[in-house]
Amino acid sequence: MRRIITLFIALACFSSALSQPGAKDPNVKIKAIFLYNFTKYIVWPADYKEGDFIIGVLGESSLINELSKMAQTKKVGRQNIVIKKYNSVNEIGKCHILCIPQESSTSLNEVIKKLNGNSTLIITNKEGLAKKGAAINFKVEASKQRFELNTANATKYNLKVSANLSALAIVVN
Amino acid sequence: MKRILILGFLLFTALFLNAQTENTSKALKYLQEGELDSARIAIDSAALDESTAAEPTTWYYKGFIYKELYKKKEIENPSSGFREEAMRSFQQSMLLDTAGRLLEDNVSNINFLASSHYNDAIKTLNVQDYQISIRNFNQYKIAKLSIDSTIKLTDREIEYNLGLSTVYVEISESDSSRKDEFLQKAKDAYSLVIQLDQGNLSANYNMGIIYYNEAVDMILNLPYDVDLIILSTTQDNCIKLFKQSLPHMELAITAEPDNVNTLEGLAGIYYSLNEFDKSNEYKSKIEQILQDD
Repeated sequence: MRRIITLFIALACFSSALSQPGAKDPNVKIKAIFLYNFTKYIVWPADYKEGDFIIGVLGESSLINELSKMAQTKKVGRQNIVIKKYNSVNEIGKCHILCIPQESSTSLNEVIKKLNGNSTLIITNKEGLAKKGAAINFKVEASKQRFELNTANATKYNLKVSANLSALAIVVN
Repeated sequence: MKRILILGFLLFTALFLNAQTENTSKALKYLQEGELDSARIAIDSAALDESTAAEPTTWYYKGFIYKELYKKKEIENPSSGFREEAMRSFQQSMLLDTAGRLLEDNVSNINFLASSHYNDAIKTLNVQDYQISIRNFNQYKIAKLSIDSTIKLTDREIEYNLGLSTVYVEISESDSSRKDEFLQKAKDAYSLVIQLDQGNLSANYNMGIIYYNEAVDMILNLPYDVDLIILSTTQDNCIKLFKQSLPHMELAITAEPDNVNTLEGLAGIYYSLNEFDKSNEYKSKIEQILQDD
């Protein structure tokens, strides 16, 4: 009787193709897409339309790598995008957007004081912060990444928000 | 050894001499002399001859001669025509052999050919030859069922389909134009395995991975300036895929609770569903396992 070859590759097919969080992070990519879209729906004052378009991130965040990738290929109008990481509130300089990761949320009040008189879109990542000074706050609803928009908080910083963006947002006043 | 086998075969044929006609006798003589091509011509004529075409021995001899031709000339050919003809002949012999005098020999030869089909199915289970592989595996199954219609081939079916789905995944990864088509084929093959063995670790894990990767790729392939409405629809589709991935990973972890690959899979799925507490639970478990090791 002829011997049958045993198929041993079946268990070797245990794929290692799983994209691990951090390496290929879909959540971070979604936030980067939101951020780029915000630049299309929000108008900054004239003196912010020259030079680089600066997106700052306060503290450590995997968002920095994704935004840096985005900055290599995209522009805001004619402005190049530059990503800056601020290790503390004191380091924050003139920027168009400031992202505050959840871990740095406690710094929001300090940030607001620091950015007084600037035209910076403050984006946070913690429940309730759209009511405490952030113009945009990322929020998860039924596993889906969405965003809250507080137009009044944007207006305080001389930012004009398109009605189209409000239509896509969870509006908070 | 080969000569002894053929001589043994010829002794066996002496039992059935009364049924032989000239063509059959010629075929056996040529076989004895090792002239397989001539034996083939003679036995083909016997199989067409009204006086011998209904004899199970004619078809048995034909099967034997074609089997020898396969072994001598096409043993490395996974699409051997000689083997197909040998198989058909032994099966025809079985059909005609109502008394069952040749049953054991027919079964033994069909088993030999079936094993060769299975071996070829495994040898050709690769990106280039997978279609030949599938054909051989189907021929293996048909052959086994032709000798025992109640035989359970579940283990072989599971083993083969796990291998086949790996090949499909490989093709989907190397050829973007056929990605969706081959991912679907892989899913179908894994589904078949899961149908046969609901808790199969490998099939469930890999099925979970396919859905997970589909969702992740869908998001990662979006351009940064994609419209927010499209982003919203894409997120909805991805959530569905992550949720389709989840039950498979959960079945896989039930099969092997400390499997780090599966735990990583679950952590990844819950992270992508923005359920960070659950994701962190699995990450902690992975750390614990790695520490214990």
